[in-house]
Amino acid sequence: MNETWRSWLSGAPWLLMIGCFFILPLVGLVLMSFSGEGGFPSLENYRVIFAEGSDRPVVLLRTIGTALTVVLLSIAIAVPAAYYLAKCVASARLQAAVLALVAVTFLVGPLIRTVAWRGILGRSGLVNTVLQAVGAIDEPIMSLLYGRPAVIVAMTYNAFPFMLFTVFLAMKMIDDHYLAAGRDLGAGPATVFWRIVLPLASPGIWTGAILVFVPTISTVLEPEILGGTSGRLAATEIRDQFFHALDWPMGSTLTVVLIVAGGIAILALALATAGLARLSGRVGIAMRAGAAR
Amino acid sequence: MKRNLHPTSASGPWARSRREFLKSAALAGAAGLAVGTLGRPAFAKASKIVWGTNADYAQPDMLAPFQKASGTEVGAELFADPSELVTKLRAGGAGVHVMTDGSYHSEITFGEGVLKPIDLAKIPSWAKLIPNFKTAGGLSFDGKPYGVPYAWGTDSIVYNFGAVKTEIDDIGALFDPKYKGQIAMPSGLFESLVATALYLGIEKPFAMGEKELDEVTKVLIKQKPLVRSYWNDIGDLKNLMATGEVTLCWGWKMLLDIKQYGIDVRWAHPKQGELAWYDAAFMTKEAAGEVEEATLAFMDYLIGDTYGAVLGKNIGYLTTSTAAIAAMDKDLVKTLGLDDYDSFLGKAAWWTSPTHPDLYQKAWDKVLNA
Repeated sequence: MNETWRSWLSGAPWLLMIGCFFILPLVGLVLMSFSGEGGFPSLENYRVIFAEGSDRPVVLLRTIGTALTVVLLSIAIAVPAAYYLAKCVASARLQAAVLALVAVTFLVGPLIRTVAWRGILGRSGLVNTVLQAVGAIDEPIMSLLYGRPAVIVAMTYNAFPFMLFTVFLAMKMIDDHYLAAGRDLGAGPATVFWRIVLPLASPGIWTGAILVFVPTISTVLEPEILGGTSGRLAATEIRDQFFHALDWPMGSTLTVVLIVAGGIAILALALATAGLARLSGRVGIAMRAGAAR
Repeated sequence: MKRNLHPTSASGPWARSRREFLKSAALAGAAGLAVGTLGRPAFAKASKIVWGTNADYAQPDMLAPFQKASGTEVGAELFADPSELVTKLRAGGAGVHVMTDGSYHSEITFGEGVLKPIDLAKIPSWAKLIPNFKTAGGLSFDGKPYGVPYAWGTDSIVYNFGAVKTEIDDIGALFDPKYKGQIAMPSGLFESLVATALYLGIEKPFAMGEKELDEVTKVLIKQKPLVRSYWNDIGDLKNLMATGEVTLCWGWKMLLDIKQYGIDVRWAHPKQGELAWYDAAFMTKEAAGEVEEATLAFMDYLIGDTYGAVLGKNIGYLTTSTAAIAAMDKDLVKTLGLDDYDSFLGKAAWWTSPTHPDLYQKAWDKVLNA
């Protein structure tokens, strides 16, 4: 038995598992999406989704837009937090304690975490109560809850630990000597962050973006619990097709379309992250060149 | 428990072949189980049966008398929507022997091939049912009995009198800009459509055609800015009303529970009428042998005097059993309207499966996606 066969054989159980639990269901899903009133194969379901006047593309775009917003917000929150934790907090115990605190908070499950936002953003919730108590408002702000902003806030809250942990790990891996060298050469904290930390942490940001984006486009909790009348997203639509309409072919088609659209969005995210890393590198090179002159 | 009426089915040859495949897989599984159990002594009676229902119907004190008398444990497989359970039963191996379903949906469940006919001779309490329910639609199919109706009621406008400060007897209140941001409507697919149809005076709210559904859809889309939220289940609605997020809704009788928190919540009998429904117990194909016997005994219990009485006391639902009404506290009978149910049933529209479920589905999608 040659080496190639041996390596294939040793990987067989895992390949079999991937084949059975990931590839086969996906193939089944794609095949089912081509089943329609006219028999199999049929493009009927795809035609229905993209027909003129159909509202499905709007829901799809709304879903992708919401997920991308959540990714950007997660980056905005997690990157500074991870940087501070990884590079400004010297104690490894304190770092571990903070991360453990985040992890423990998330042990309560997404349902409770999502419902809790009703207590924060509601008519008599924490925010409105405090604002009324300090005299900032006379009437509660109703738009805080039951709308897309509340959905995005809760989704960001539910997903940002994925970003925090991956970015923290990426930043922790950056050799402190690079930062020290940057400072020795006269770079301020912002320059060090922009020219050294960000490019080196970009693989972590990219991984975090995927980990935040994927569950966000497929969640039904936040839109249903906090979305009010405007919260319907693609995952809810798919759930309704499978569990309520019992129209599995249409549910499959919507899923395939969401996977493709999500894939395109992930590609765009990858390009954006790579672009950001390159941009910060180029700026760094240009500044260095300028400083040398 | 009328929730999410989405009675369209998977169609086309793929759906058929999938069903065949699932059937074969279920048979293979059953054969495996049969081989596994060969040689075991038959039990005198089932030690446990599983009831697919919602949490309100399966409260421990409501099931305890049956469990004590029969020695059969009743496990509950809880769901918010019977379609969820039908999906599991269709795939096989759900482990559920009796399920709750209603007139609005039972025909669809029957069409999915997951139900088993029952022998009414083994359900003696059937004789004491309110006569109207013995001949109600959605209980028998192909000339065979399948379900026993054990609870019924109406859906209507529920409002917080303390907040709105006026009596309401018109569905139009749900569409009145005066109540902007204070209204909750059901997200269960067809109930908002049907309530709106009642408001618009559409004669057959479950048999609307494209034109009538268009009219209803327009009204519901126009209503959206007034609506605070579409409620997902009765717990969600209780929360919305109890916290003051909404003061007015199209809701279910169980919402009156929040009176215990000092909220003056009231039930309206609107002039346009309300929606009447019943929930029934149906035996599934997974009940066999001693489990089938225990399931039939449990179905008998559900329409008997004990369960019927506690049903009204615990969750405010109405029993279908004349024996239960006779056994209930007279004040409770009056409070529930069981002494004079003909008065509001006269104007009520009975839930049935919509004649064009695909059109209803599209109409509701349009409202949600707008």
